[in-house]
Amino acid sequence: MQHADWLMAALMFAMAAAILGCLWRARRGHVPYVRRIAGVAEIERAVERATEMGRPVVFAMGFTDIQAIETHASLLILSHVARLAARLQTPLIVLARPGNVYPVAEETVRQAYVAEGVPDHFDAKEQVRFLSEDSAVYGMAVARLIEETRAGCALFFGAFEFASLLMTEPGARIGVLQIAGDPSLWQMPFFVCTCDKTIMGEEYYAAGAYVSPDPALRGVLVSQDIIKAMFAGLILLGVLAALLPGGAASWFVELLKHYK
Amino acid sequence: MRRRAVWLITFGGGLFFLLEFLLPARTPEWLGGVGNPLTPFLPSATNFLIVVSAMAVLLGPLNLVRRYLGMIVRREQGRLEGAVFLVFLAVSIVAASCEGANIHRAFDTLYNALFYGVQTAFFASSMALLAFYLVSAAHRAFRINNLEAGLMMASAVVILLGQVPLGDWLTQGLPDAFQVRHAAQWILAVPNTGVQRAVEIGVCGGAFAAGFRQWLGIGATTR
Repeated sequence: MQHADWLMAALMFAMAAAILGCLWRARRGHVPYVRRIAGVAEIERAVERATEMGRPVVFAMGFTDIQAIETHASLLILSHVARLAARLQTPLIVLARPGNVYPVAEETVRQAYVAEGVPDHFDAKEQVRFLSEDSAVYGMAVARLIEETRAGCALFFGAFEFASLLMTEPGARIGVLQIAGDPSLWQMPFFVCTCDKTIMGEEYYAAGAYVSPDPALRGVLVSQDIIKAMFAGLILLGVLAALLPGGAASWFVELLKHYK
Repeated sequence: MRRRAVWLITFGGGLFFLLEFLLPARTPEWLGGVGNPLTPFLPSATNFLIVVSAMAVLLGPLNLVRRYLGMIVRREQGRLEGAVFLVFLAVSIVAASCEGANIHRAFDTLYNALFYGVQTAFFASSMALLAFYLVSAAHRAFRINNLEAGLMMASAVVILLGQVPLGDWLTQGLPDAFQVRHAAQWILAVPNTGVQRAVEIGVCGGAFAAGFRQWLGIGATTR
């Protein structure tokens, strides 16, 4: 079994302290300014556009299962999109791939419709669909559904595999407004080529907090910057140690190794 | 009440895994050399999670069956595909259940035909399609609309030329440091790696913050 060493534990405690500190400040009313994330701001416009066109919104979830944090981040965005769709009475089709994500996605959409006061408009069987456990089949089925329904907009949120291009290219060809979010870098070039907006890296995790009505979540966003600053500080320290004469770099490495 | 119960289970489960990870496998000798008290329970906890996840696995295929059955009963558009799906589902279940059980050789043949003859062929077809999509997407991406796109295009040209003999031939007259393969290597090893690491550090912080939020039950979507 793998266990944390002292260095890892210290970093984890520092990161947790940063998050709790920001949360505490947010709870006391110090909600920070959050810069506009273009891709996230575009989601609302995309759903409104689909409403005006009278076409459905297609939301495809990623390939990770329910234990992955990427899935939970995409569920936060799904909740926001479902509330928008319920409010605007726009047809919403949610596609979930891992079998254990499907019921959670259904419950998320159901609660969004309940929160908007229109639980009767939610049709679980038609709106939240399981397509396949296989990546290629899922990708092809998502693309086909986007083409078939002439979707007003298509949203792809989660960690995707090689099928990202299979899903998005047909929609790009017929001019569907597409927005994708993926925390990993490997599928990002394909999304950049085929989608109108992409949410990448840490923005993916920030997106859920950005759209959430809970101000505490926005407060926690600052902690992400503090964590980055901590890592930047460590890198800077390493660079300075490497530049200093007299074996300071090896001393720094030995110090880190000692606590590892 | 339900929300509180779900939160308690989430928090308790998260605390168990966090403490198990943070506590050392064995304390130092001066602290008695005691083993991690939570590690013996880790396999049981992991198995419990697998079992709970497995309970939800059937819900997905059931949704598919319900949808397609409804389409066939209501004679909606797409009912033919629904019928094909249901037939293949039934045949696949029978073939997979009887394959290797020495019931009849026909089941083994059926299994091989379905999985190696049909499924593998479909997979290969979708991969072939991917190759065309790659070209189409690359063509769209190689349109220089602004400065960033221009920079991307220029670096792409340098890297592409740096990987093929044509690049060496084109720059053979230049000093070694100015040869295109060195420029390509520099782009890949310095700016590209730096940016990738920067994004990964950001993702690491984001994932930690998102996980922490979930653990504390802040902003959970379903409760």
